[in-house]
Amino acid sequence: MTTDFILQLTKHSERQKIFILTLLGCLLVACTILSISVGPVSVGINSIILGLKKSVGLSETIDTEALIVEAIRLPRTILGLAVGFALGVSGAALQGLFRNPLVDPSLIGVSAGGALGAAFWILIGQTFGFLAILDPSIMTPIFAFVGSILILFAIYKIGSKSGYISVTVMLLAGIALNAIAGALLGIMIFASDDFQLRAINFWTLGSIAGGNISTHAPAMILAIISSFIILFDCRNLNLLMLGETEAKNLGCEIHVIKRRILTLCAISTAAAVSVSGIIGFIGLVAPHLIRLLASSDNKLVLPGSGLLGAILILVADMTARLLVQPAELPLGVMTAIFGAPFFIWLLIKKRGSL
Amino acid sequence: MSDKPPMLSFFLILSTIIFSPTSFSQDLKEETRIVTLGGDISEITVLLGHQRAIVGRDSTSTFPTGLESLPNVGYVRSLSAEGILSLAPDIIIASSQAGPPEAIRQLQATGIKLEVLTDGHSVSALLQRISTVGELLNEADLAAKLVKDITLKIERLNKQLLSIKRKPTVLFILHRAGSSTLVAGRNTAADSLINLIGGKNVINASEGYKPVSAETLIANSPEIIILMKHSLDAIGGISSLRKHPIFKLTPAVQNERIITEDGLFMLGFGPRLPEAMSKLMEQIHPELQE
Repeated sequence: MTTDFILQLTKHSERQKIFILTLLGCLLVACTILSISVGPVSVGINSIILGLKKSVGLSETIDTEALIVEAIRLPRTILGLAVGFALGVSGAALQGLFRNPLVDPSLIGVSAGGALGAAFWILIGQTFGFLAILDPSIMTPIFAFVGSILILFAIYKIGSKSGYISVTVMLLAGIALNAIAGALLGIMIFASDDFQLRAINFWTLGSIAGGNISTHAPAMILAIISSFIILFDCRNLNLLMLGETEAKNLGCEIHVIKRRILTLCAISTAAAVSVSGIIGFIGLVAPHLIRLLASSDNKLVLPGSGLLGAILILVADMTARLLVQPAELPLGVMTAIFGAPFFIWLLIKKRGSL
Repeated sequence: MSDKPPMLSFFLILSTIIFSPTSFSQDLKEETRIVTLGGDISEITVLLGHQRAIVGRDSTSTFPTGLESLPNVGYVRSLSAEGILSLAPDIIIASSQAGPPEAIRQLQATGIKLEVLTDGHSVSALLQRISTVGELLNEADLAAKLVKDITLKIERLNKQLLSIKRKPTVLFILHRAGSSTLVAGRNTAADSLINLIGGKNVINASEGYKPVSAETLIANSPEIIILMKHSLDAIGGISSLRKHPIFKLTPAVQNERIITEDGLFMLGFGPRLPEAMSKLMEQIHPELQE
């Protein structure tokens, strides 16, 4: 019976999978080009090309419009691609791992831990500025990253006993630690002044507008590489769908896999969140959209969620910058406004088969 | 998606129509385009005769009338670099609050002329800001005149304050929602204002705008409560304060000494500071009117 199930899943035609991934890839390329081309300033095609040439060092002279492409649009687009991909893949992997449709990266403490770390630095950074051995602008991401990893490690420690990981305990520990992190964040907000409050608030709403290739590169590379490695576990995640015992019987070293996927998801989402702030909904919605629209085969769901996550972030970001121009909406607001209604529509449409 | 130019020109035409009757003579250069970020800075720019040159402003720039019809680039602390650049400014004059830092960095990276002014809720910081804007706009003489004018007015007010025997205790309420009340502690614009008008801030134990407990409120028994007009409206007017189980116990509510003014007028620390001080002083020191 189990082998039938696997066969049925994988049989879900290789061709369809390739078709969907190609489609998503094309959409992503289109979104990337669009994201570099549109904005409150109308930039001509020549300036766009000039700006792109400048950013890879092929051109020296540059006009203001090209500078906008080089200094503002290209960095935020690249940041959006990295963050969207990381959140999408991690969301899909975590849902598969926990075999729970409600899991998203924030549930394992990444967002709360990141916010806590960032807020901590925003608060003490002014007083202990001398601690910033590195460029001050990357200290907040570093603290956010450390905060995420610490909370996640605590959740993992609570949820595991001599190598055995209990998914239920981890989920519940996640809820408890999220509450603790929320309370600590509340204390920091209480202690903050106007400027710090605004910085914390800005961070918790998420944004890719401040994308900066030179200072954000380490985090982006970390996020992309670790989420790429997760893709290699798609077959194991398919086996896990059958249940832990069945997966074990089929030769799956469950605990090794669990630990590996958790670690990779932690690194990729913590790295993503550390530079973009909290961007909700992408990690939850992207995998579900792929499953509802195509299939539950993780060979499709994992890479598909990564591509779709990046598409969703770029579309949300373009809307955020165009809708109320010359002002700009917070990205976290846009992802929820876009993602949620579409998600609800799909749920209603497919509720019989869920 | 590149339908910005029509929108932009719409605003330009609109602003030209609105401001056509104002003087044409004092412009720095006929085509100079200014974006002002910060309510106080917009007021200074207008007073120095450059209202017509302002092509964009932040959401705190609501005075004088006419500014509100200009393109709004958002709240001064959450700006978008490209949004501001889309207004094609020649110069951006920004309050020290302007942010986030990433947006400021991006604006600087595009090589646009961006001037971030000195911080501070004090008379000297205000005068400094006026001088700086004056230099930026080639209106040093006009700015010097304005500085002198404000200095004289404030000196006159300070002289009046010398005759005051006692500083009344004042509570500034920023916001009230549910059971929590956010009040001004030390190092806030409201605290500076209370000191300038010869009052004593009852909240001196905490810094910034912090929630305060009901017990502290009663224990401090403020003689006067100051709040922004829209905060009082949000609470439900003076009558709701009178019915409130805690506020009705304060001398301020019992003696009906509740003062409301526009937020930017009171706390903006712009060129209207002497007027704001004078108006509030009349109300908190009734003995001065005799």
